[in-house]
Amino acid sequence: MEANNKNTKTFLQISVHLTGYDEMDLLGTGMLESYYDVVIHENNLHLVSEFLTTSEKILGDLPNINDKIRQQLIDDVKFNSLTSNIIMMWYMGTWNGNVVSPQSYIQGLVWKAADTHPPGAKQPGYGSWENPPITIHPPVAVKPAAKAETLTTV
Amino acid sequence: MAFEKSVKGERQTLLPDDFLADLPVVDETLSIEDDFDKKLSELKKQLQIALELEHSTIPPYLCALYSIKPGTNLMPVEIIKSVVLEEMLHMIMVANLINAVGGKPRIGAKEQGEDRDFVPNYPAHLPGNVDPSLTINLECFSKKSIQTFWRIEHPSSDRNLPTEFSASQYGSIGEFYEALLKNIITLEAAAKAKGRSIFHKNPDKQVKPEHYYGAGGKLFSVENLEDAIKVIKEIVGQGEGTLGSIFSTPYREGDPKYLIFGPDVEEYAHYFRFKEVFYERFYAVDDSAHRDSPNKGLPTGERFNVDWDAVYKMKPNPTLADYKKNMPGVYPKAREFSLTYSALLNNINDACNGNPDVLSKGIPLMYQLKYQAIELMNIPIGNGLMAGPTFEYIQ
Repeated sequence: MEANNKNTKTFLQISVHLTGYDEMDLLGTGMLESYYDVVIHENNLHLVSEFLTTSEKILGDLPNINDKIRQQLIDDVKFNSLTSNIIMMWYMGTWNGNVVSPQSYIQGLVWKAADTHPPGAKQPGYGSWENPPITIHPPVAVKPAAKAETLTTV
Repeated sequence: MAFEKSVKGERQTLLPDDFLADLPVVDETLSIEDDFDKKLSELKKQLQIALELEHSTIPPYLCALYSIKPGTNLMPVEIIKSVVLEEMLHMIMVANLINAVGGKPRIGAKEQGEDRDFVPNYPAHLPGNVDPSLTINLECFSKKSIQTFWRIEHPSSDRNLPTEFSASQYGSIGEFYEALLKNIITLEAAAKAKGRSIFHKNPDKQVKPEHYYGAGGKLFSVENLEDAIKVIKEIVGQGEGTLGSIFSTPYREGDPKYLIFGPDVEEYAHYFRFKEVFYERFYAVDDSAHRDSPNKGLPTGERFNVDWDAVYKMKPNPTLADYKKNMPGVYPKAREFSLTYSALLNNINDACNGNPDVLSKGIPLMYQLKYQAIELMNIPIGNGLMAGPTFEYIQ
């Protein structure tokens, strides 16, 4: 992470807004570096570099961040497929339909979002299906402005 | 103190010749009217400490276990996991023992009370004044943490047992239990002399094998002195699994007492299992447990692979207060972990206080605890270190 610290950080921060999960959720998957590597190796480097530069600018305008993401990353033909692939990778652990690694399958956000567990992994324990999922306290609502704080922990 | 092995599926508890040799010790001065009640209440307190002692090793073992990266260190994972499962089993059996003598095991409940010291404040000493020179930490898997673990399970060669519980120090967990068992036997003998028993018939409060599945060996419920002895022998046997005499008596070549290893032995004590991890090899069938044997009591068998670097390097002894103050981003995740841990302690508390059926509801909490711990260990917090699970009780 040290060599590409700035780029990885940008990738992480834009991923927060693309996925709706906060930095700690994304870091907690342990997949950040692998996913960043996939983005670098599966794409034209110029495109990635432009994507990161554009993302950095967008991250500088938090009040309008959702509009900016829609206009400049999703509706823009240049970045559209890269952007949707990144979202897909965080949720499904796949890139263009290929599983990134055994861990990426387990760590897909789709399981968290659906309040379930990946079949064959992260088992919740025998007989647990007769009870509702554990909610010790209600999940904290994600506030877009709050989750874009600078990354102080990396 | 004692050791246990399971040969071809049949468990045998092997105890040193002098374990409890001089029992029962009946205290002549023990008058059933005054001293007896006082001693019984002391015994209940000591049993509560035993409960805390069993629990205190679980968070350090879990930190080491969960810090191992997925898919690596298969043998160390198996070994540490088997030890943790047995510690959990011991905890439940001690709770059964407390209920059997009319006490009340306090787990989550103790943290809700005024004393609030069920959960150690890591870095910590073992509860009950057991080996005060030893400090236990919440830290990742490493040669250093494995050494600490075998010190926790270390048998003591000092056979001079303290006679009074209060202000006593114990060289090892085995000594602590030996003193405890002597007190149980003495008290029961005194009660018997008056036609009574310290053991209550309260089967409803006992956690039985049907409430506890598939982990760490057989669960015993306790209704009488015989059961109590069985439980304590099981705990001591699984833990230290050795005679203090491997340190204190001269080595005799080929002494079968110390030839306790090999492929036919399914399980030997924690102390030796940690040695295997540290030295990255199994005990061979002709290895002796004795310190002065040709193999110096160390494993010389088949090697296995240990990758000491395939580890999430969690910053030792994480606390909620530290996260709240210095890493506010990590704090909510650490808090979630602590809430799960607290819910689990409450669950076990309920199970051991008359609702054994709820224990099965604790299983999903145990899994959740693991996934949340690993999530924290994936979060970098600077200087190459990772966040870690905060084993703290919160409401």
